[in-house]
Amino acid sequence: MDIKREPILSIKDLKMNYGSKEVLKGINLEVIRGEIIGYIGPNGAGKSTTVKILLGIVGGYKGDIRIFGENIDGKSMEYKKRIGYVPETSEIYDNLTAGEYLSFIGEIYGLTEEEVDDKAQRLMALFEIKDAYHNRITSFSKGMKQKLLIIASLLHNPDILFLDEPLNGLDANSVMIFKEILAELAARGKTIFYSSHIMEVVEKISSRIILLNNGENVADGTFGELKEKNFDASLEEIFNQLTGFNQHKIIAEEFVRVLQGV
Amino acid sequence: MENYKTLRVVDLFSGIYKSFGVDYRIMRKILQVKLTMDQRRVPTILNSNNKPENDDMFTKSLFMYILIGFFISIFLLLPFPLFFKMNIYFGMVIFMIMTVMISDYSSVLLDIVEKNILLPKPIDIRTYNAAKVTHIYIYLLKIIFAISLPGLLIGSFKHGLIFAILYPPQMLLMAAFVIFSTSILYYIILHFFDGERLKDIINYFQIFLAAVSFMIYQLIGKAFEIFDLNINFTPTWWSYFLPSSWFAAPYSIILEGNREGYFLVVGAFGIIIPIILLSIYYGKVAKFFEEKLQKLNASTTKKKKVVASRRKRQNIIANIICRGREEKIFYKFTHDMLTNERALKLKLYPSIAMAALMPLVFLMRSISFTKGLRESLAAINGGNTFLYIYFSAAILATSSAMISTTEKYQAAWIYNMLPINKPVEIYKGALKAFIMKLIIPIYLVITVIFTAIYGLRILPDILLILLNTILMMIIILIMGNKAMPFSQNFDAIKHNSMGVFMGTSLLCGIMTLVHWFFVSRGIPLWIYILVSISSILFAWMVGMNKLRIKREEETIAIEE
Repeated sequence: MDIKREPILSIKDLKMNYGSKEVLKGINLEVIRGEIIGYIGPNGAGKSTTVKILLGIVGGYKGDIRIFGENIDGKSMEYKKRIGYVPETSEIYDNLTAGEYLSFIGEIYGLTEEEVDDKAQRLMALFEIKDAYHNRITSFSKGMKQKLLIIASLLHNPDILFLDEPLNGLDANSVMIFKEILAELAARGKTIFYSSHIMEVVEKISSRIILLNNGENVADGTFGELKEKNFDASLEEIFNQLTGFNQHKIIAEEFVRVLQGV
Repeated sequence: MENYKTLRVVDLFSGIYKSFGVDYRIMRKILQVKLTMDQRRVPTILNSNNKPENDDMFTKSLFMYILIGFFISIFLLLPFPLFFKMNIYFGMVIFMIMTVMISDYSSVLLDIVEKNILLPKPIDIRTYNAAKVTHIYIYLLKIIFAISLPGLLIGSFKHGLIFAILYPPQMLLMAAFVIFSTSILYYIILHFFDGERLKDIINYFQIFLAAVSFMIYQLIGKAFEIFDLNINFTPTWWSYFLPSSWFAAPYSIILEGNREGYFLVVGAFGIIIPIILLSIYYGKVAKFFEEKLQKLNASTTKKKKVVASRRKRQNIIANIICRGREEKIFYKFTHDMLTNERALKLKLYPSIAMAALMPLVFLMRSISFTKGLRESLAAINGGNTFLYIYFSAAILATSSAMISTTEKYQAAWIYNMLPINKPVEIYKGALKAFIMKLIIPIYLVITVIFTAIYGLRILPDILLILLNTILMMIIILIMGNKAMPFSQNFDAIKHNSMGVFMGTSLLCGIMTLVHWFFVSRGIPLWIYILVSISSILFAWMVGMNKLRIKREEETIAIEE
C-alpha cells in the first residue's frame, strides 16, 4: 500500500452532546499525510469541539476516531507525542519565563533539557524574540505570546498540527514566515489542521477545505472543487452561500442608516 | 444601572472633585459601572461539584471585620490613660487597614487592563484616576467603619457622646492617609525601579504584613502582661511620627482636657497630613501615576549567568531526588512555579511563615515575663514543649494542598494534550518540589531555633516531626481532590480547605499524642521513626498509584 495514501486520521460518525445540545451530528473525515486542511465554519459550528476531541481534551463523544491508525479512546498516550496544538485562547503559565515554559513542554514531549534549550533559543531567534528568553511571559506582547505558543507546539516535530487562529497578533512579516513554514512542513509529510475565520488565508494555504455548519460537514474538497460546485469566486462567498447567509449587503446598509440617524 | 446609595454620598463631595479638575459626571459614571461589576462578581469555580456562590463575599467579610474590631476595642475598656489606649487602638486599626489596602486593593490601584478600555474614550486621566481611587476609598471606608463600629459603641458608652462625634471624621482622615501614602509610595518605587521589582516588593510586603498581623493577634495577651505597669507618657521625638497618636490626640485634648503643646501639634498632624497627602497626590502624582503604571509590564532581562546556574543547580537536585523522567520534569516545573508566581506566593507564604512562627508563639506564651526570662527558659529546656512544632507540621501539610492552585489555572489545558504516561509521577514530582522548596527550609529554621533552646537532644524528634509532616502531605493528596498541580482557581480550594485542616489537625493531634507517649515513657524514638518511614513508603508506592488525571471536561463545555 502506498504509505502516502494511508489515512493518518480518520473520523467516523462523530457525535457529541453538551447536555441536551447536539454540537456534532455525525462528522466523517479521512485525512492523509501532507494535507493542509482548512477547517472552517460559523461560530458555534463545532470546530473547536472537534479539535478538542481529537486532542483528547474533551471526552464523552460517540463515534470512532483513529489517529495514526490507533483508536484514541484507549489509554495510550503515544499518539499525543506526535501532535502539536496552538489553541485560540493563549492561556499559558505566564509567571514562568519563556525558557522555563518551553523546556517544561519540550521535556514532556521527550526531548532532553539541552535539546529543548538549544532548539527553543534558535527558534525564538528566528522569530526575533530571543532576547525575551529569560523574561516572564507576563511581560510579553500578544504577538510574542503567539510566537511562543507556536514554538511550544512545534518543538517536538509533530506529525499532525492543529492550529486555531494561529496568526492572531502576528505582524505581516511573521505571518509570511509562518505560512512558509506550514508549506514546508506539509511538503515533508506533516498534516496540518488549520482553523480560522480569515477566509483569504484559508483559501490560499489549504490544500483541502472542510466547511462545518451546525455540527455537520457541508463541504469537503479543494478550493477549486468547491468553486466549481458552488459557482462562486471566493471562499468567502462559498462560505456565505453554504451557511445560508446572503443578506450581508442589506444588513450593512441598514446598519449605516441607523448610525446616521436616518 | 442602580443609583447606589454610596454614589449619593460621594455626590456630597462633588465640589472637592471639581476643584481638582475632575470631570465629576464622568467619574460618577465610571464609579457606577465599577460598583455594578463588583456586585455581579461571582467567583469562578472550576469544580462542578462545588456550587457557585452568589452571596456577596464582601458583605460577609465585613462581619469578620466587626468581629476583629470587637477584639481590638477591648483595649478601650482597660483602665489606661485615654491617649495611650487610643494610641494602641488606632495603631491596630491603621495596621489592619494598611494590610487590607496593600494586600487586597493594590491590584485595583495598579490595574492597567481597565485603562485600555477607558482611556481610548474621551476621559481625561485625572478623572479616570479619581474614579479608581474613590472606588478603593469606598471599600476602605466600609471596612474601617466595620472595624470601628464596636469601638465606637464601647467608646461612646464609656466616654459619652463627644467620642461618637469625634469618630466619623477620623475615619475619613485615616482612609485618606492610608490610600494616599500607599499610592505615593508606589509611585516612588515605580519611579526608581521597574514593574517587576514593584510587584516583588508589594509581594514581600504583603507576606510580611500577614505574618506580623498573625504575631500580633497571638501575642496580644502577652502585651497585657507587659503593659501591666504604670504607664507614664513622655513625648519623645519619634512619637510625633506615630500616625496612631495623630488620631488619638484629639480624644485626649477634648475628653481629658490635655492642652499640652505636644497633643495640639500631633492632633493637628492628624488633620493636616492626610490633606497634604491628598493635595500632593492630586497636585503632583496622579497625572504621572498612570504613566508610570505602564512600566508595570516592562521587565529587564535577568542575567543569563544567574539563570543558567540556577537551572543547573535545580537539575542536579532533580536528578538526585527524582526517579522517573516525568517526575523530574514536574519537579522542575513545580519548583519554577513556586518561585515565580506571585499570586500563589501571596496565598502560600503567609501560612508558611506562620508555620515557622507558630511554635515560637506558643513558647513565648509559656514564658513568664514577670518571673524573669532565664528562669522560664531553664524550666522549658528540660520539658517536652518542643512538641509545639506539630502546629507547624499541621499548617505546612495543609498548605501543601495549595500546589493544585494558580492564578493561571486555564493554562492547565496542556495536561490533557500532553503525552503523560504516568500521571502519578506528576504528583510525585510536585510533592518533592514542594518539600524541597518550602518544607525543608522551614524545618531548618525551626531546627536552629529549637535546638538553641532545647539542645541537640531533640534532633531525632524534629526529624520525626518532619517525616510525619511528609506523611500527612501524602495522605492529604490521596484523600483530597486530586487535582493536577496548578490546575485550579484559588477559590476551588477555599471550600474544602477547612475540612482538610480539620482532618489534618486530628491526624496531627494523634501523631503528637503518640510522640508525647514515646517521649514521656522513655520508649526509644527510633521505633516511631521506623513506623513513620514505612508508612511514608507504603503511601508513596501503593496509595499514590491510585491517583489519576482528573479531566476538566465541564469547564470546556461552558466555554464552548
